Amino acid sequence: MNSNWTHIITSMLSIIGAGGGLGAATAAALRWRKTKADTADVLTDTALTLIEPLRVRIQELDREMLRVRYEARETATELRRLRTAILNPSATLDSLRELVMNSGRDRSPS
Amino acid sequence: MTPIRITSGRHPFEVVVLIAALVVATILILTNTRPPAVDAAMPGPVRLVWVILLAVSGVVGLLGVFWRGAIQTSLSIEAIAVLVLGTAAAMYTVGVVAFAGIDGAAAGGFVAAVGAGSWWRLTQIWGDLRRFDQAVKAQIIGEVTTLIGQRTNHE
Repeated sequence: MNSNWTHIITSMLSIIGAGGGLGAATAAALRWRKTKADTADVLTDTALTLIEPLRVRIQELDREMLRVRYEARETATELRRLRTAILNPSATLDSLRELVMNSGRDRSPS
Repeated sequence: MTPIRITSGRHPFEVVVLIAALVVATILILTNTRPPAVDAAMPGPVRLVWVILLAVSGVVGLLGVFWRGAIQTSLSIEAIAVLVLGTAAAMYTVGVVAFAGIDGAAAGGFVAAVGAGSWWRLTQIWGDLRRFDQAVKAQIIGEVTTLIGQRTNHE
């Protein structure tokens, strides 16, 4: 066989092999980076999924705490008012009874 | 859900051929010799490229086949090696046939088989990676099992 032909064929094959190898290496590197990024995405998603119920629960507890604090303040005010009325020297049984009935009515619903 | 079947590169034939490529390339580099068929059929620089391709295919191929990370990374590394190994085998086949003619039928035939097998494996890897990507895009990855070998990859 003519050695020129074998030279041309093997040269072309070597170019294909080297070029293809470099191309495949680039593709592999890109895929590796993409895989790592995808894995990070999955981890972030998982973390957010775990956190979400806790966030909702914290909001509920926040609201609950505000309501309880409001009620406590109302109760303290009420207590002070009643004590003042009872200790008043001019207090009568009828006036106290009226005060208690009214105080039960004007409590604002929370 | 049907698991996606990925054909592993840890087949005895493939692993042994990759080891042989590495060993042969090491011997050729250390002793600074080349097969007569290579000297006869290839111009000077191409002989060097041939040895490098052989060494690269062995190292990268074994790295890819025994990669312990994601299966798609393993496959894409293996793809580099089988592409390069197929080319190196084709070059050597041309050399053997040109140098020995019909007397080199046995050697040329086996080397050509290695080249053909490598490129076959390359198309197989491309197919597996394409189906893997489609499954990821459609988010139907439940379980990826390998057809050959024991690796099971949960995604």
